[in-house]
Amino acid sequence: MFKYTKRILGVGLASLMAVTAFAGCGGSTTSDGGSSSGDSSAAPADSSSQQEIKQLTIDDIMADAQLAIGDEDNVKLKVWGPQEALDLLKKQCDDFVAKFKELGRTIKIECVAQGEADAATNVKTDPENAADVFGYASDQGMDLFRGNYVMPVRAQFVDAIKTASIEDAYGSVLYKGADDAEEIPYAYPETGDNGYILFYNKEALTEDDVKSMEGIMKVCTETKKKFAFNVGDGFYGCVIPFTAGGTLSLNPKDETIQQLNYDEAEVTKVAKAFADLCANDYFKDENVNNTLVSGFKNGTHIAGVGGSWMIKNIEKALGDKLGAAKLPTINVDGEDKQLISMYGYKNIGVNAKTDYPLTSQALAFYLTSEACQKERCEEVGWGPSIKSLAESDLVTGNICLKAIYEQQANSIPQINICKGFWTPTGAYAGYMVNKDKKHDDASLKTQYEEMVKNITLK
Amino acid sequence: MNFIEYVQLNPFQKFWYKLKMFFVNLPKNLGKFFKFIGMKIAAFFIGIGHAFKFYGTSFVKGDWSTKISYAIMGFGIMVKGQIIKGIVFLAVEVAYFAFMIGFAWNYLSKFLSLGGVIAPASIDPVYGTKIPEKTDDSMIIMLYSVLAIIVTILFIFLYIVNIRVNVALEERRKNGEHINTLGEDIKTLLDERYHVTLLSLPTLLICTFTVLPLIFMILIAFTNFDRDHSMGGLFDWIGFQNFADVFVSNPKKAATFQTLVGWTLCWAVIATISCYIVGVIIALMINKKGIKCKSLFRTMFVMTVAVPQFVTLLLMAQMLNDDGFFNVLLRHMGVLGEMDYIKFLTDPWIAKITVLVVNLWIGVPYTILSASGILMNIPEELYESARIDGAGPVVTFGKITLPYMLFVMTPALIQQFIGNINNFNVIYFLTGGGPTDPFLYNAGNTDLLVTWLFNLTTSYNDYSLAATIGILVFIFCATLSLITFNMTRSSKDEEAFS
Amino acid sequence: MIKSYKLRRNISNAIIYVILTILCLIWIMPLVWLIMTSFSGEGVVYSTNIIPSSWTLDNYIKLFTEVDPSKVNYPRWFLNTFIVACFSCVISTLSVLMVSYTFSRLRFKSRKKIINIGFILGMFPGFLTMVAIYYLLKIMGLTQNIVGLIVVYSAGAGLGFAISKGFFDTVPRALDEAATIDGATRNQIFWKIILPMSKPIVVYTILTSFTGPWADFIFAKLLLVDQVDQYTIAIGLWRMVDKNYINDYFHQFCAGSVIVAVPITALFLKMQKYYVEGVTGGAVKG
Repeated sequence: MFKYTKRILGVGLASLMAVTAFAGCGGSTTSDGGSSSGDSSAAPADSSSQQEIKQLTIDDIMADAQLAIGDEDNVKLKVWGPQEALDLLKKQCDDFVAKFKELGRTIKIECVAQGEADAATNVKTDPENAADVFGYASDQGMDLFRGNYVMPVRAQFVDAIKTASIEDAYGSVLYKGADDAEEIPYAYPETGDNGYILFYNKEALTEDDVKSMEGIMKVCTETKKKFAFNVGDGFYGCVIPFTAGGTLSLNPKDETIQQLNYDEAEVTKVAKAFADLCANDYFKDENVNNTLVSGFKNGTHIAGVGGSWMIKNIEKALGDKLGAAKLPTINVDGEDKQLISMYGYKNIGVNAKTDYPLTSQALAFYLTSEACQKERCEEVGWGPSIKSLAESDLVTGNICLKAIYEQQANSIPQINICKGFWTPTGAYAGYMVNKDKKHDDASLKTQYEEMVKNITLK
Repeated sequence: MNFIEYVQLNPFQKFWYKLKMFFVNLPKNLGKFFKFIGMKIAAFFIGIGHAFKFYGTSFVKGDWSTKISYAIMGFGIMVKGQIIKGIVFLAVEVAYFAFMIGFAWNYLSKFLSLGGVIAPASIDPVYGTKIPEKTDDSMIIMLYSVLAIIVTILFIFLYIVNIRVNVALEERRKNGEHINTLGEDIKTLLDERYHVTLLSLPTLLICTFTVLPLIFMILIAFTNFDRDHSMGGLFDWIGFQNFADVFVSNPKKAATFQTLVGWTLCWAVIATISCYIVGVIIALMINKKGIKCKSLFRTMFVMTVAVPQFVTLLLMAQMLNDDGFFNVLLRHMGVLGEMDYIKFLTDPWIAKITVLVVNLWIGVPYTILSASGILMNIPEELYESARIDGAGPVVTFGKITLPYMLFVMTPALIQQFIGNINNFNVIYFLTGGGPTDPFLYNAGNTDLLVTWLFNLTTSYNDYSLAATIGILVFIFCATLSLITFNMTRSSKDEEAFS
Repeated sequence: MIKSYKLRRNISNAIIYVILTILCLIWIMPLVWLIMTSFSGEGVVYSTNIIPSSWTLDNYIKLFTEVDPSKVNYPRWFLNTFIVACFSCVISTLSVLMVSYTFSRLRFKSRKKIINIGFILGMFPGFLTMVAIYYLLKIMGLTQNIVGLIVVYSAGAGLGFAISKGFFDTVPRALDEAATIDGATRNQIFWKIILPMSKPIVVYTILTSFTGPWADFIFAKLLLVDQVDQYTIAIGLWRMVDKNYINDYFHQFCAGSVIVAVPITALFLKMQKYYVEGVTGGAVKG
């Protein structure tokens, strides 16, 4: 950290002068309340007692090296991104490097393939050898924030991120550390699409069929084809309690313990509906990551619930026949209920142990900026976390992305989740769709109680 | 049974008799064992007392250069003519103190507290960004402290050697004996003291990469180093809490531990015995008289040993998938319906059977290899005399082949049993421990203790719990192997061939 | 009487042939499937056909042509593994032979105790302490590269002395004594008499320590985290069937496995004789 402070002192004077110069101006814009979203010179609410911080946009820092990365020069960074988007990541990093070369700074960036799930684990295992800037899935956020593995977002970028991002996406990077006055962002929202939707074969199923589970299962039974939905995995299995209106929070006394806000009677009703409809040969609770693409290609599957990361491969397998929709409804006691899913985000974190904090922050800021998100959406099909992009043609013109954002409206954000949540939830849901198990009231009750007990036990 | 009867037994019966007697005498021997340990501890302190007396008298009786050697290592040795050797000792002393004062003391002094906060969290004045608090790295403190302690022990050892050499040299000088030159000293390293030469490098490597980590892991088991205490940050000593957790005080961890111990033992017993029996039967069939193409058959089986295990296992995992090769094959054969599949890896019980069967596939060729070798070694006369006595093939097998094989292979079997307790590959690559079980603490139905440990370390950052399990596994394996090792060893004369 | 005996023997032999053939087929089947899939042009992980519907060599060609240093770099992985295997083979073989010769032939103070300690430590699988080893190597700057792997693979090798010590025990001591009388030092006895006489166990030790790095996964994964160009074959192939890669790389995984398996299998079959002699020689008398 000493290095960090020293470097900052260099920029200090210049910025200090800038801050004083603009302080009055900034204040007046805030009081107007009419500042446009692009111009974000408003100071955060809490900093009234402290010195005001001049907020910056990506254009500001890409134009002024001193402002962006202080005195850091001859920088070497390592960046982790998942393999399917690595080529684009490299290109974007190269752009960043080229830009700063124009501004007279030398930066070298090495991009390495590292899946989002592994990234966080690897950072935790050895922060010093980990990447300076890395993408991770939002469910890993808590551990990263709590352990101080990531550096909080540079306060000058906060407004730009806050105003541009989808609310839940921004919510997924907020955390109130032991010595924070309020929740502050600890990472940069990168995508708004880490959820799952229904993929189907348009030749076998109509748009009407896929509106409800009943419709899909009817066709599956008639044509003897499969519908894959990996509810035995907690990530998918949580649709049962969520559809029943359940939500998640952390135990206020001990934030390592999960708190479930479930209504047992409601959850059991939905579970029963699943058991009645799905405990048969055509509903397949299987690892969709492995089987869905093959299944579509072989023609054994006509529908499946899969994640946004599978879009490319499923497009390849189904071609023109590809259909996608938000999750279907399920009939619970005569009422069609929309399935509520878990919905995650991918974020970019800056390693707290990085040697070049300013450059890393600037790079993370750049990689999550509107231009880069747009490019990523166009080239690898990742849904943006920036509100204006998510509402643009870019998303609404793509059936898969459109479905994903429709599902986002019916979802629970993947934050505040403890590690112990997944397995019991998956076991509970998996039990329901297993045709070899008993589904009478007594066993449903035991299953429910076991799930709650196993999740909330420390 | 008296001695004469015992001697008349065949080696196989002798072994079983010993095994029986071992358990019969266990309570008595345990008592003896503790008494023995008590005596050893007493002897240790008496030894130290004697040593102090020895060094005390040597100091008093020794000449001036020996006396100085008590403070300046190697001085007396230099004076007495072995200059280079003396300089080496002196260099060791200087290096040791430089290491301790200049480097290790920093860490050793924090060993009891495992460090603290160096600088509290602060807000950067310019950017308003939070700068997290800076703390010591408890892991590094612990590691360097252990290193410092080991170096100190080595130093004490060298210090004692220094005095002994001094005293010996003084003795020699008094008696007018020859004092070795450096060249002569080096020569002994190739002959009388050849074991020092051969063992020093392996010992150094083993101490650094096996013993040091082991000590380190034992220490971690007494801390609260888990995922709430980040890598590179602080953690604390918590005494036996982890052990208590595993056995009683944390119901979930305790339940998981019990379940996994049960399954691990069950797995190890079945895996060992099944591989042995199937392997021996196949070996007997291959080696039966009149069977041709022996080496072709053997080669076929051995192929699977030669292909790296992880390849075959990763492959098997894919083949055993719900839509994998085996289910497709069964569907094509009409055993299963179009939609049916066997949950080879996803049903708790079937998965257990699957891993055992796959282990059979992997382990049997090894047994075939070694059993073939042993079968060829059974003296032919034994069979001939049995045949003359009119014994049929079943009787000869029961009376000769089986006892002989068991006798020869028992130590290997026990090794294999221990190997199976630690059999990481089969479980990890096939099922990854799964299917996951909500009743267990971060573990699945087919998880062995070692795969649980691996997952706790790599995916859950539960380092202290993993270390605790590691110690327990180690204690169990070490005890088991020591008992069998000494039992089989003592029944044979190591130098029978000399 | 004689006739019926012969008949019975023929029948029982025939049954044995049938059983052995079936068993052989079972044992060989996965390998055959591996080879078949490696030539399959179907492009799906889970095929509904037993025998692939189309055949291609692409999977092999792609392994060597479609190289991306930050994702999949098979030729480099192969080379890395070969280097690691060579170095650790030399170091491990030397330490094992040195230790086992010492324990078998030389008599010195506390010998028994040291053997016992070595025996207990040898029971201990190294990966149980992987966090500690990782940190230790990190301090030495040996993580993130194959040098660290070589160290890890060869450092503990000396503890695997049991089998070769058993073998050395069977070499008659009279030889040593005769040589000593002729004025040979123990050093000379080791290199000039014992080693040449113990060819099976030397070959066995070389073989096991050479094949080890091709198969180890734990330490490679632990030490090489994101250094794709330092990966060994084992972790590289494992990565290819990871959920992010499997749909694109499954057939290449099979092809890659075949390429690794062929030389090792060939080596092993060639040395099989020594393996058997090594194992049984050590086990019988050990």
